Amino acid sequence: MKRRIRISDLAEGIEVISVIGLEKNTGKTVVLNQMLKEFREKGTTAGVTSTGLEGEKRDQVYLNEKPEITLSRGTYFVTSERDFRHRSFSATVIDLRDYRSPLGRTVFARAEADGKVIISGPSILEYLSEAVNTMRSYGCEKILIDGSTSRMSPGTPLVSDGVILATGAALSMNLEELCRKTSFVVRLLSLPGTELELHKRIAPLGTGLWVEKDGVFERLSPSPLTAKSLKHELAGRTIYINGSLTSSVLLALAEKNTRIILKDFSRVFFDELTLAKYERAGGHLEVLHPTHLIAVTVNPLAPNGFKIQSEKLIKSLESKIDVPVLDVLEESSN
Amino acid sequence: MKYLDCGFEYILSLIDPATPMGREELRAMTFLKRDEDIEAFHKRQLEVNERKSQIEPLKSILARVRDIRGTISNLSPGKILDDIELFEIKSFAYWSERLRSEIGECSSWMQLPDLSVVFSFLDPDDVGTESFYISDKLDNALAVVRKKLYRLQRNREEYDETSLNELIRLNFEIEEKVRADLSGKLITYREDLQSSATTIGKIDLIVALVEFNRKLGLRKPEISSGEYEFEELVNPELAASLNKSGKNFQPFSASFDRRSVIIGGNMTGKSVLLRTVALLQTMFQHGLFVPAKRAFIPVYDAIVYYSGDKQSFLDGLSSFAGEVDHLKKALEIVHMDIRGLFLFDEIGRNTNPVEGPAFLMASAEYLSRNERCRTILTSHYEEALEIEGAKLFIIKGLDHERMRNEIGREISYYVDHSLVEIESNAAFPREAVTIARLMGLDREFVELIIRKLKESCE
Repeated sequence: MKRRIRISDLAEGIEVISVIGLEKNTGKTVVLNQMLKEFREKGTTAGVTSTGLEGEKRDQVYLNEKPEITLSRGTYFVTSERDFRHRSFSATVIDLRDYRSPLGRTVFARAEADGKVIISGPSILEYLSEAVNTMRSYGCEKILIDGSTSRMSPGTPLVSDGVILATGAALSMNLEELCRKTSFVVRLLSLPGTELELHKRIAPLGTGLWVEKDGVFERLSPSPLTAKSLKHELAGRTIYINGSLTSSVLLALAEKNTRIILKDFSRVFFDELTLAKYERAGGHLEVLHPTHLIAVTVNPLAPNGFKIQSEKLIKSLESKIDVPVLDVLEESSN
Repeated sequence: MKYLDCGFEYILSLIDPATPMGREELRAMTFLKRDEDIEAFHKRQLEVNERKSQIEPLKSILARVRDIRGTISNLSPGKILDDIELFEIKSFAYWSERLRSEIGECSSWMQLPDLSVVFSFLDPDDVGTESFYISDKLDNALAVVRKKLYRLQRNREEYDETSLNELIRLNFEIEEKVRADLSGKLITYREDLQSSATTIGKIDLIVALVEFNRKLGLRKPEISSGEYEFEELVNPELAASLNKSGKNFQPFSASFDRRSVIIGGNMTGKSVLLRTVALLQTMFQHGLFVPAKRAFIPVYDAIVYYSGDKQSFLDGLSSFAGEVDHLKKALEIVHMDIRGLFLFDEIGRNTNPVEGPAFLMASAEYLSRNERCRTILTSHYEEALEIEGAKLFIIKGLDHERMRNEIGREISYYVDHSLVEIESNAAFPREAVTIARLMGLDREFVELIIRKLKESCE
């Protein structure tokens, strides 16, 4: 019998945890439900909210596409007025705030019985952070954030202490490609953080593309998306990009020993190949806010019924990446 | 609502009530025409202002009050409020009570209805917070059903989908009965809730005004029965923008007759002065405190303020047409025999220098025919000195001593904006050329102007 790792054990000591999915049906909800169940068994007071951007905006338009999360008595949750009304259990309403969401106001509540609810918390970073802090003030020891599907959830490292990445056959039915795509994202999630001294100098800088010159950062362009004007001498320079980094800009910056600093992993809009070219040219990439990747979970089942061999997948991933890999179906069946 | 074009919107934008009800009260402020209405508003501000140490606590409570007027209107026979709405009412009652106890003894306009009963029957567990839950205590059957439900959910051996669904349904049914019961009870308090919302809006507005008065250093104006006097009047909007560039607004004082004329060279601030008087009067007639150290001014039924071409441009009129339009409005008021304040900036300037002064002279004479009206005009026509029976003022303008002593400063440094009374035999200021030169107009061109001026005089 294989040793069993409980996902909540991996999250020991980590207070705010974001679960993000590489694709729909990669088992994000299963992971959330499993963690909530394990917290209940351990007697840990948990809170849950979500952040939806990109792909999940659509969920707000086509109602009820988001899956329901199973809460147990005593769990705190933050969701929209509309989704709160559709819950299946008794709850205490603790607070009601207006975050100007299309789904109405945001309800802060505590489940008074076990049951299911769709979680649609605030999507704006500032409000998400407020929601997290509020749940902390209610006494939550663990706070789960149902992150967006697609890794582009700006600021995730700013509000959460750790991230769980859900991947699976829904992303690709080809085992090799699935591993490659997943390990690329794991690489991005593991980008090293900038040292404190530099971090302090960079943190106050506004949006745009900045280049260090004689110890001072100069803004070369107000938007990092315009790569045209970048024919400066960049070799050996430190470049800070406050905004998104696209493939074309990354290529334009590929010179010997350039050091690019991004705000966090969610600002990445380049592909694997471009990164490889950039690094071959001698470039380094790091982030202001590094992410603590807790684990990768896999869902071997694709929505069309196809199933990848779970053990082979886990083994293959484990050989490429340096974080624990877990099978969600196996997790939840126990 | 359309206000005079005197910067009153800017003033309103600085008033910041915490609740939607307060913001509505702010939007609903009207032009007051009765002394007692203005006085009543002043009294409210003074009353709240006296509660100095209470302002912060009041503000923090007000910031928590939600607008539940939609929910209150749902309180009607047969309608069942849901948990969110019941929470809203409980929370509202909670904060309304907190506000009531913070305020304590007060005059009648601030008196909030007692909502403690509403709060207590929405708080059966005596939690004492705004949180709302359909508690077991609200129906005897609830505790039983919930206990069964919990055991079934947590006990794998007993798990049975049919009985589980049955219990969930039952729990919901009883909860709904409780909601219906609570909703029915609340109908009795509908009026109280409504009146609390209205009163909170009123308190909120006055608290915001008191804060605003302090921030801008506004003072309570006195209502006069005829005199029009103020000391050290400031234009807050201009003062703020001058402060940003390290300059100060020079306050001005005046005592205006029923027919007053202000002259002064270019750039001395005649228009700003008139605009500020229009603002002073508008603020005063909305019951606000004013940006002057002292103000003793009468109440009018209407103000006509003609500020110049920008206004006409926006109305799609030529500058001259705009001027005529405003004159027509003023004449109407003169004929209607109501109290009117007429503020015209450089009347007649939009036509030729022969007919223009005639417009000025005729306006000065005609508009003050009616004893109940007051006319304040600015002009840079020399003829202004000859207006019969007018009190004349001049804005000092260029300080020639400063100009001799300190060279190379920005033009505003040399201008003295003080308003002083003059006699009709005073010399009329002619400083356009000097000012243009100070502003850095091409030297050769300035010399040409001087030559032309001499030629025309010869």
